[in-house]
Amino acid sequence: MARRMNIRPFQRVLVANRGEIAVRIIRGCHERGIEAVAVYSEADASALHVRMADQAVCIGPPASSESYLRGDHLLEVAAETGCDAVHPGYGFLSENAGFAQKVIDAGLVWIGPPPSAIDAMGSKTAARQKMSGAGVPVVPGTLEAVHDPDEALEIGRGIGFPLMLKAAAGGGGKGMRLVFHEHELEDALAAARSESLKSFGDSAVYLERAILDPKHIEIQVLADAHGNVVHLFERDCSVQRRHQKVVEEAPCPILPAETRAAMGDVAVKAARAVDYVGAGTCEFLLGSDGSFFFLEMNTRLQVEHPITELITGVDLLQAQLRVAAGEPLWFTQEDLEIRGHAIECRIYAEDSRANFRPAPGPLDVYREPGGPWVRVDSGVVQGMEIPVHYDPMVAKLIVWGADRDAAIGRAKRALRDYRVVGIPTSIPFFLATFEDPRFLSGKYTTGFITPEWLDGNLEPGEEAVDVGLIAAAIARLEADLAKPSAVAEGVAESAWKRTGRWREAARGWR
Amino acid sequence: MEANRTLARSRAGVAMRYEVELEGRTATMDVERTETGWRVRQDDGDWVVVPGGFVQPGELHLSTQGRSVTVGTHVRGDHVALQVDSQALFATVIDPRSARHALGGGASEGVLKTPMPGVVVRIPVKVGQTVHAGQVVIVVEAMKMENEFKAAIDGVIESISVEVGQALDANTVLASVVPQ
Repeated sequence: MARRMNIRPFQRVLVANRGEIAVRIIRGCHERGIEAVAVYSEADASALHVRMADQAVCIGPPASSESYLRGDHLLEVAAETGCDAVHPGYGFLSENAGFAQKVIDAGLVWIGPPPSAIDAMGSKTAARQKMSGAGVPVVPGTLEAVHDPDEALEIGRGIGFPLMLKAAAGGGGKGMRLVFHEHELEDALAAARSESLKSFGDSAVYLERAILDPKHIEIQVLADAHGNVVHLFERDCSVQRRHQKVVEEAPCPILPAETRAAMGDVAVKAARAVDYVGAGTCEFLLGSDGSFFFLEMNTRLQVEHPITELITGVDLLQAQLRVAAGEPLWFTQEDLEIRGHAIECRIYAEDSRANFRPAPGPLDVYREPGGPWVRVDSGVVQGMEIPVHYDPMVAKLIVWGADRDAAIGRAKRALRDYRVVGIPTSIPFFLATFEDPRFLSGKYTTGFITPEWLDGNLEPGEEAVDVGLIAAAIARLEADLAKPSAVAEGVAESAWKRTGRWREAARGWR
Repeated sequence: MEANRTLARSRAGVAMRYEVELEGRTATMDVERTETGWRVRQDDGDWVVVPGGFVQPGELHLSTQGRSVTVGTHVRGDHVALQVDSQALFATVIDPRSARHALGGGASEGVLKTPMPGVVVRIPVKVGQTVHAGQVVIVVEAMKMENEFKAAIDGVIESISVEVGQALDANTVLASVVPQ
């Protein structure tokens, strides 16, 4: 790790995103002496990323389609402000090969993989074929539609039961059927085909082996433009709701070292197969028998990248900047090792008690926790409104511990210290998760969250309601007394006055 | 600081009475300031001393029932948003002297309200249409998710108070269904 990069890779970077990832990118730029230009929609005028950037430009109305997804506006801003590179963050245009190409055509550096790599991984079916050809294990199955029950049975026997029937045109669980036994196949095929036709106007259904109750494991890779590719171990992202990750940890608590090495090799192979450059992630399903299968490659920085940073000591954002500037990787696979354990909780504005219903609203009180090895990546400030137009993620709480128990204990402490008033958040859900024997054993799967579990674990205790009744009355009293209409002659020592005096004293110390 | 000056002049030693609703529980709370915090009486029971103070605005520290707790608070009219033991709780606190509205009144089971802000994307029914319990009446999109609001009872659509494309605040009445 001897090589140091002392020059600034870029002068000015356009941050083509919002929220916590925009803040993360701006911080990374500033740490390297690079100026950051933020863009924002009308709904985000008071957001943190706007205030932190060296310049900020409004690019349109709240709807993403009219602001953050307007590649033409973004390129105009980049030109007007004299940027020499564009960082897309995640989501929005980050995996849009066409936009990446336009950035490059405009003479700017795209801080991400080559458009050809984005394209190659963009289509699930094409990626599957390409990966299969490169020797990467994919879930066994067909890619062609299966029409005839006899044909399905023959193919099904070859793949092995249980089987999953999937709509070729599908998504969102429609047109899917799980088939455990041969005699169920005919009816299931008919049902899947008719549902598929109704939902997508296409009855084509294909077969895949069903991976029951898997873990979702992903491998971080990092590649430079000189042919060097390393992996930075795995993240276990099996705690999911609506197929979206909510808790991630690294390393996976139950992954055997041989499997880790094998998955790492496969991920590097996958990256090489598409001439990948930059930070990317290969997602896998891990079966209970230890077998694993390639799902897809995300050709961007992931939401959960910080846990990898904490266990490896590699700043992935800095790595993206350096690699995009053409610098060769300054370490090898052998230099990398896992130190300790890291956990991320995605703090969402949602009501876990109401099946994670989104709950945008005002952040009346907002105070992030601190202390050793506690990191909060957020894009919000107290007093702002969580807008209805975007993903409901408020912040990410990331902790590190010398071992998994220490990390869990630290996460619980930091969650209890987290102050959010005005909107429900997923904080109570995380606290319940970290008490659950299945989570503590490490053997949890993507089926971790069930409606029954949510019903049984998230109700506030009797005691909390007792305290709440008292606190509500006190808060209302103090608010009433603070109103000018409530002012009377009596001048007495009050809690507020004591606070006021203490603050006055504190101000004098500055 | 204007706020602090106002507070310094405010009165102490006068008990206020509130009707509080929280998590399905209701209580009559009397509360007044003391030298070290407050004293509180629930449902005309015994007065209980609650030492504490605001650590900073919105962060209330209390000692109660042998526990020392920090509670997040924010008052907006009759609504008090709280965070107790990491849970977001929402209380309604009414001063009965100025009570224009009784607790729990007004809302009949046929009235559909959105608990969160959002945008109306679909209204698959019309006024006068017969609907059955569970039938989708209004679809509201919030944070890239569609939320279906369904009739709670069998009946007829009496009114629809919103239109497609309209942006909604929380607690907006969407429509009402009356039994046939």
